[in-house]
Amino acid sequence: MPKAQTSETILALLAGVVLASMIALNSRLAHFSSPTFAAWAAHGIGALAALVAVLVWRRAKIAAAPAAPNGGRWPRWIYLGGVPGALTVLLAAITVNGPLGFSGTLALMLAGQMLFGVAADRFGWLGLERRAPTAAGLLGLGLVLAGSLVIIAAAA
Amino acid sequence: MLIAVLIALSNGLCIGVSRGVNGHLGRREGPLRASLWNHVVGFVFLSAPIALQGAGAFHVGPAPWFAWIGGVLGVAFVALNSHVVVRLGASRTAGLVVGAQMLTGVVISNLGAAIDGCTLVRLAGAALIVAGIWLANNPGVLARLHPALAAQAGEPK
Repeated sequence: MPKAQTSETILALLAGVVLASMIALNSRLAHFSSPTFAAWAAHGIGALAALVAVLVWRRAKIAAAPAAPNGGRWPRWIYLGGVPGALTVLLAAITVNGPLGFSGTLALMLAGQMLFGVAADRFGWLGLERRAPTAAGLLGLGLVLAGSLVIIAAAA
Repeated sequence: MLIAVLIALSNGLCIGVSRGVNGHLGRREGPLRASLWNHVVGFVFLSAPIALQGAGAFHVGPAPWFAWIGGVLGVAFVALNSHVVVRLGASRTAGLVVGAQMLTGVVISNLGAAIDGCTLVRLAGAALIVAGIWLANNPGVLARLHPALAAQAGEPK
């Protein structure tokens, strides 16, 4: 692994730890209200927290050099990442309460996420750098998915 | 059932799209501002179903205070993803985030619980995840095990 990517790898793992804790907290709030309200409140409180963070660190340099990929023009859709993010909560609320249940929903969400990741890298979607899938990368991804499914099956 | 499966799969797609879009924005605005945009836009978007539900949507039971701070963690989650995805690519980011999420889930669900057969199965799953993350980050190992794969194991050791 190139040395420069070690810190990114650690940050990505940290994101997973944060995600699991966040899901635990948000489901707790959803338990006392509804999934939609919990997601709405989390986004509202998150927006305030992000605003504070942006103001506190407003002098911090943007890590990556701003480089518009297509002739210096940035597409408008880059501001709409919050829509699929919010949609995640609504779709999960539908399938968790359906025949799939929590475990089935989680398993398919993980699979969908990884499949999309491989395709997005392969074809350079969403302004990502094109990367051909490697044997080690695909095998590693397969093992992570298999392990996740084992854990989900143990909970079911 | 098929429809539910398709909805759940496209939900995973939504996570991937969101990560990629926010990563793109993060390249222009920085990961923290990308996270701010994500939460403001998501809040406005979710206000529609809340408005449709009327006053009943705001009925909240006696939730503990910490149940309210999930959104603060969300800020860190989106910022970390936006920073990482443009550097590691979408598939490696997905593998690392999912892996660490599941491992943390195992720890959380076993806190204070007695060790039983279920725990052992979960630990076996956790071992698979760790092996997968390690392999994806050390492609040279595969090349040494099987020389024919060397050409495909793109990255130099």
